[in-house]
Amino acid sequence: MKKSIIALAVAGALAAPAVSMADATLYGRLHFQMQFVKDQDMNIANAGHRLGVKGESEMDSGLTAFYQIETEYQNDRSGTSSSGTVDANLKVRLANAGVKGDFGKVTVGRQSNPYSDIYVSDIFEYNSGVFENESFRMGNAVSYATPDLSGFGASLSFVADGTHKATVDTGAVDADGNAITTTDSTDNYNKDVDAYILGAHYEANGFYAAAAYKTAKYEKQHSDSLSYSDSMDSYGLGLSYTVNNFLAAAYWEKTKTDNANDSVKNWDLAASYTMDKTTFGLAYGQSKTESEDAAKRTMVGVYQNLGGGADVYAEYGAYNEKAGDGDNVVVGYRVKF
Amino acid sequence: MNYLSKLAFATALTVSSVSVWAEGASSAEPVNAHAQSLSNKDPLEGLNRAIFKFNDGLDTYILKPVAKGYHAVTPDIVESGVSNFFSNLGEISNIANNLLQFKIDAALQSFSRLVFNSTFGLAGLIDVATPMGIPEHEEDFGQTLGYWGLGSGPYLMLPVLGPSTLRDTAGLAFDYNLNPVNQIDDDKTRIGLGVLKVVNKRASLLDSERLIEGDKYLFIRNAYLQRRDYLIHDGNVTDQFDVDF
Repeated sequence: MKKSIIALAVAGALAAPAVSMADATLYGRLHFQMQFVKDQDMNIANAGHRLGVKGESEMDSGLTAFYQIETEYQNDRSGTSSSGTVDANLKVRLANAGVKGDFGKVTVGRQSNPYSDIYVSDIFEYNSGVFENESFRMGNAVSYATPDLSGFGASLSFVADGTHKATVDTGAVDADGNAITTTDSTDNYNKDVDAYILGAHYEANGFYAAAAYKTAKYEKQHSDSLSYSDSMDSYGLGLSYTVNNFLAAAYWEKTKTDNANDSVKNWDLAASYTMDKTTFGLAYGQSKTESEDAAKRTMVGVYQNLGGGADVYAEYGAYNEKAGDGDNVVVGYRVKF
Repeated sequence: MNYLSKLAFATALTVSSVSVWAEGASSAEPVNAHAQSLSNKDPLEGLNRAIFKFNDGLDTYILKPVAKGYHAVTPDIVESGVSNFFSNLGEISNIANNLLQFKIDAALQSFSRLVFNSTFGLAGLIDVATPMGIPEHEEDFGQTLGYWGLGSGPYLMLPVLGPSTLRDTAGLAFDYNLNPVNQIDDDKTRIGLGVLKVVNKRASLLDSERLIEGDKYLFIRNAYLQRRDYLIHDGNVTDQFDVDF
């Protein structure tokens, strides 16, 4: 259950009349896994504890302003299990604000990456995201998304990461004959707009299709002798069909990184079936470059909704040697609020 | 096998006859109405009665006293833990037999029960799946054969194993092989677990056997046949209960 306690607390503390204050929702989850991974120690793990606040309010123009900040606590890090308290790395997943209306929606800041709309077959927990080249979120970004046009929707985003600095060759060499490099703080070699993402989707009668394209190049071409791994072009397609309690989903993507001559092709097939509060998932995926063997994985999971925001699940993942051989059995417990 | 092992094995098998008393007693209608149709299924009554007498003696002098002793010294929570443990292993047979009867949902739920009870339920000692809302679907291969339309054949009282029919007897081997306990190589462990299962089961039936009245042989036979009919048709009983009118 979402609770609007922030607004209440703030209003109460100030003892002032609430003046069209945004109604904030506090939400989050605590998520644990007991992980049994081949050739590894058993681990009772933090599987993503999150805390977020989001809300929206009506502006004078009649448009809606919205905001969301979502954090993740990475505690239980190496060697801290016997401490009474422990420092946590606080990570920010989402931190964005924007405006929406009949025209659609504009979002600025750290937000969901529309490219990830194609990852429709990602139905697992521990085994999530294994063969996916792009991330689910992005920072330093502005996006425009159309309103729903009879099931169609599209979006355009761009990323301008001014903190990214190119490493450039000074032209000099050191005593060992290695090139001396420096960090370029000018805009001579750093690009203003670093990435563009284009996404489109269609949804009707249980059918869903999404296509996305992302091109990222953080630096201008400056030296053939220096490698820069930040250039990456991806495109992909996701399809899913839901009928009654059955879901079938598939996605395919291809990514080319400047450093590698090879492109990486991923695909993943998944099916799930829900009975009352029990869901079964089954998936098979591959990741392959032109020159190397394919990494493969097979997964099965069963998930039980316990009501009250709680659920439990058990997953099994089998990975071939190319995929890291990390066969695993994982049971999880999660409480959302 | 030494003498003790043989005895343990025999004892292990006897329990099924006893368990039918209780399960039959809980679901069986009074037997008078269609007792005639049930006795038609028992052409070997003379032989069956002789074997029944032997089984009953085995229970009276060995199994029941052992079960009473076990019940007296074992806390209830341990008894239900043991019962849950073996019931959890039985999910493997439930998965297979539900699949063979094309009951996909029931097979998946049996699978979920096995997964959650084996993990969150501490190797099956605690049945967490039931309170989580995943029902149990008990099926054996005799039921599967019945579901496929195979008639029960004559009623058979098996030595040690208890009441059965020709069809259900044929199904025993299939389920036996799906029980992980029977796959254990170490004789002592396998037989020990078998004995524990039987004694625990027998102990759980000590109270309900008082429901048996009249001719014990007929009571058990009719209860067994009706119970099987009930299970094979998942509760949609084919008997006509108005034959008296």
